[in-house]
Amino acid sequence: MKFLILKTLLLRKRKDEGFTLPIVIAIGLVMVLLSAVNLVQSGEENLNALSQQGSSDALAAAEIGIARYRNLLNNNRVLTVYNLDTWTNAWVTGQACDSISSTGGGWADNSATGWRNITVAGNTIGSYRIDDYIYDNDDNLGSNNNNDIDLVSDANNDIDGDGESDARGLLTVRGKDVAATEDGSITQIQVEIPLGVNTQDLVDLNPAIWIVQNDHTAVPSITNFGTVDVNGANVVLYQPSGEGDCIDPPDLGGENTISDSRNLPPLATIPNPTGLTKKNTLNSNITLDPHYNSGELLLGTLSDVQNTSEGSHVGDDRYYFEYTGDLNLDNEDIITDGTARVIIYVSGNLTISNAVNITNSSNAATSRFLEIHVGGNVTINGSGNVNIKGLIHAPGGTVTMSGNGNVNVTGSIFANDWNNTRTGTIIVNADDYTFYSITPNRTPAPLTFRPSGWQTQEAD
Amino acid sequence: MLKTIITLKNTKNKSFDRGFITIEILIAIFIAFGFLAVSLQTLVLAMVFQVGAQKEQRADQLIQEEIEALNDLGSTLNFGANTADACDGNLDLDGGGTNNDGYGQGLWNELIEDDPLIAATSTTNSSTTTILGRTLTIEGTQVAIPAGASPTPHRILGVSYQVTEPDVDGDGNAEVIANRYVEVIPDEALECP
Repeated sequence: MKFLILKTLLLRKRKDEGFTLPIVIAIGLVMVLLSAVNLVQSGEENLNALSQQGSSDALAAAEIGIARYRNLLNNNRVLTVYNLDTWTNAWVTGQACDSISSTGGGWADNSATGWRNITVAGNTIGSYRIDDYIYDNDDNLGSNNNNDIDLVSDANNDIDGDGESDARGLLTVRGKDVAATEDGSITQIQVEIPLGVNTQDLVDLNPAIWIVQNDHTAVPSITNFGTVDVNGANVVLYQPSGEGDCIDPPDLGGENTISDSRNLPPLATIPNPTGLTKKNTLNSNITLDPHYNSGELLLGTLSDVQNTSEGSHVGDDRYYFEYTGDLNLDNEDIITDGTARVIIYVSGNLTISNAVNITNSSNAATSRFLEIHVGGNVTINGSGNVNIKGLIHAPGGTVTMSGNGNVNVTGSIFANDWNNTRTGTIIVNADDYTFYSITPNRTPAPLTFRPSGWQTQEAD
Repeated sequence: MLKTIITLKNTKNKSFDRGFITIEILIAIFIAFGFLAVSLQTLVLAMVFQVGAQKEQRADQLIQEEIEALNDLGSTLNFGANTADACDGNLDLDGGGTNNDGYGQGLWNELIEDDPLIAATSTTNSSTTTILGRTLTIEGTQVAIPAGASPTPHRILGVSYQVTEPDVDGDGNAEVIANRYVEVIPDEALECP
């Protein structure tokens, strides 16, 4: 029996011929199959890694887009309170310094052709484009809230009762891991950008010298700024608005230089209240003025206000004086008492020659107590020191300094242009008088704060 | 027993199968060898893919960690400088005596100062990690933002990250596993006029 079983198992019959080969092939195929499965799995893992890198690259591109649009919103703050579909309207672009709608800018283009390349060292590493921006101040994205914001108090933009501003912008940006014209991974991010009142705006602006130049068409280019020491404040240069480029202001001898898109405050207007003396006209030759004495013209004393027409108090704590024509001061001083607020309006040019003091009799008083508004140019020439404690405001004229001698200004100088060739030390020490803050159109644009609620969304 | 088996085989198959088994086995061996070679190659290839994928995933993870740290630093950065002075870009944040650093440069300076693993230079910033016996090096390089893209006070910081491993193909250059570029604005920079 045992022999029979062995015979059955081991004897090779005709029908079993080639049995080894099929078995080897079968086992080999199984091995290949298992290896192929392993390979496919590894390949998928590799593809997943590549895909993950593609998604991460697209996410990084979208985050770059968010950073760049935050920069755009900061440079053009008018955009923060308008929905994307109004960004190309003239009243919006007219208040922006970047090219929002033009071919070169196209920041508002959220169409399929609106992708903007990200280029690093000459290589395009990805692209991004805006998908939407919605301004909201009532927690209702369906309502149109364009430009509906109180720029004075955060509490006035509060809807949940916590006293904080609830105004916000919802910015949605798409990122792509390839160039604008190619197909690749796309990631979409939405962030919520809180908006609030800019309480520090006018403090930070802090202009000691403010120049507009060029009929408001370009950032001023000042050939002769000269050696000027500006302390505790900025040199502010006008930044034109409307379809241009937000560019750096020129470096002016290392002084703090910033740009601002708001125009200079307008010239003072003489109030004309009924029943009061309309204005105080001074003789263009101040030596003939009855208040001129020993080289000084004393303005704004309370006794003068009460007893003479000169220096009339018009009801708002200021004393207005008007010079018709040019005012020339040559070794002569104009002094105020440091208590009354004196506003002098010169319709023509103001020329200061040789040693002149335009100041007040109180050392503690700031330039708040003396403003000189000039319709024409301001010229400082000759020899000798010039001391000014006050505001010189010549929005349409040029400040020209020549000759020699020191010029010490405690206050500010605002003008259309600046030309300084004077030999001597010129110092502008700003004080705390923010004249520009009480004039129209000084309202600061809202600030944008740290984005929150980052959401990765499906890009349809 | 064995003798019996050999006897049986020799007697029964003598007329039909003499010499065929040897050829068949030889062919089978060759085929098996072929299959084995293909399978092993496939396994090696699969292993290469797997290791590569793991390195890429780890590289991606390393870069993401750096980006998150950079974003976090950008949110919490406080120069403590007078805002009016800071806003004109005249900050000497790198101590180099040049007053034109701005917020982007300030963020970079903070970054290379904060990271304890770093042998920092003025423009690069690197650290290493090991995965599957290979040392991965992540390096961040400050990228100059084009003029006009970030006007004064230079708010945007651009950083290009690169993860590499030591030279594998013998060309003397480290192998690049992943690249990524990011831009960050310090939140404090947006408080300027």
